[in-house]
Amino acid sequence: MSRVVVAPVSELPPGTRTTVRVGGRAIAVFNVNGHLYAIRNVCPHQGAPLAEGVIVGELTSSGPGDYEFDDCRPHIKCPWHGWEYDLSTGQSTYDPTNDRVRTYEASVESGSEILAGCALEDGQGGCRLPGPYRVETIVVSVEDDYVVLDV
Amino acid sequence: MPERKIDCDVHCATASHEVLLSYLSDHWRELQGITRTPQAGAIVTSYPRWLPMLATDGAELTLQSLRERVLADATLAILYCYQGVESYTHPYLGPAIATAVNRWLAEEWLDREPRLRASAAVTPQHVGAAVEEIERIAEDERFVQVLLPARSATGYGNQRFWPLLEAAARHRLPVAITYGGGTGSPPTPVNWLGSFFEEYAAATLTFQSHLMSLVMSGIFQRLPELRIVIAESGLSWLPSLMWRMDQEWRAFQREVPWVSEPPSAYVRRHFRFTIAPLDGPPADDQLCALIEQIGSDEVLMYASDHPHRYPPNSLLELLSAEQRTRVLYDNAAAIYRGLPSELASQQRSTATRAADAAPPEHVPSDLTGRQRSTAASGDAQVRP
Repeated sequence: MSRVVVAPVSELPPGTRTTVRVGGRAIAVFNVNGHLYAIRNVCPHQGAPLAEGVIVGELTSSGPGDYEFDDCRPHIKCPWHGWEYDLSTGQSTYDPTNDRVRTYEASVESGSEILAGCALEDGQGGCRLPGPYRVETIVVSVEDDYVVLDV
Repeated sequence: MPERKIDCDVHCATASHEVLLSYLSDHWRELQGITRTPQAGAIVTSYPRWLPMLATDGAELTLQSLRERVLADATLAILYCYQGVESYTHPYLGPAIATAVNRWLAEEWLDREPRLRASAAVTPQHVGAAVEEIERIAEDERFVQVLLPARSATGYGNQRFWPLLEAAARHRLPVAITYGGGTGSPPTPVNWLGSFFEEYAAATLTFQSHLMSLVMSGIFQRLPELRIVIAESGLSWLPSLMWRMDQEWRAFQREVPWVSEPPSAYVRRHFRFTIAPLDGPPADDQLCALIEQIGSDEVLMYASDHPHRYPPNSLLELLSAEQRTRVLYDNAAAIYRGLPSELASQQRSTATRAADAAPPEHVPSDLTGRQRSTAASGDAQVRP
């Protein structure tokens, strides 16, 4: 597993999203009400960029006329056909066991922690700092918090 | 041993409206005797009554002809008597006619031929009365389903029909939707087209609308035991409708979150289709492909649609032995109440009846349909 710095937290406020390329993979990172979610930015149906989709709450039902809405469990609707995926698990709503999108762990860490982690892992090949940002960028803003992706 | 076969769609008809008079209450008998108000016919372009695939002549459809042409090689046959009861706007006359039709069916057909079963006429326009009638006929095990016409002002998944569907499911009575309907509602989604040909060919669109309405309504979550029989409407349209519903459901599931499985799963579980007339493709390999596309041989039920006649098709010959048994018998026996065991109990009770001159005072648990019917029609006497 390697770790990638996506952006300073200040650049990904609640309600926004960004994309990052790690190796060959396009990953979409969302901040939904302060919670971070990261998924492969490719719809398993026809490859649409999921980062461009609408975020909706979870909707379940115990029977006709019953709508149980959970705003704390965001789903992404594919921008092309409206198919839905749970941002937490990547599971589709139409076939949760077989059709899903890959998810990643996203978290917030301080610049100094990241630097410390880098120093520890440096030379072992496990550390991929600074991702899209250059190490120098982190060094100059070591006081800030960053969105970090485990991939 | 001859092949077991349930003919799931056989027509009978009253020779005239007057036939029903003696099955009405005194009041309606008198008033109908004076006014002679039969069903209001459906608004049709030009119904070709002469055509063998459509004609149902009550005078020619005798029990004897049924024995010769249907029961000669069918173990059981399920009667459809389409009387247009949905056309009566009167909230008491319509239900009274429906009850009369069912009593006529019981006395003229079921009482005289133990191999017959019947579809019960009910009034979808008067749901409360329909529920009462379902409760009444449910006591007679020879009524095995409830009959609704395809033409309707709204889809049968609509909540207004739920009490009717609930009553049917409560008594394990499938609801059969069949061609026609005198509701004044149009035969196609674009109202009336030019010719009868268009009207007849487009009838499948009405069935598709009911099917979607029922699946999306969520009624199958409420009533997992409910079964719907689509009679006389072919099935070649089914795969494309299932594909389309399954695809669009992924995007619009949010509107109907209770539809938690792909719509086609509900179709395969809750719907059954009679195989006459068959509107399948002409080539055998295409017909096999159609069955494969439907994805289940459990949805097909054998029917002759007697006396209506169609060009022959090779469906039954194309099926494997197991599939053939399912289509001819098992699929129907699985959804219609009491069929296999009742066959055995009938043979028993025939012997019992011959030995017993007087009917038993207490209702035994293996009461035959005939005795139940007598009890049921006794109840009917007090109905207005």
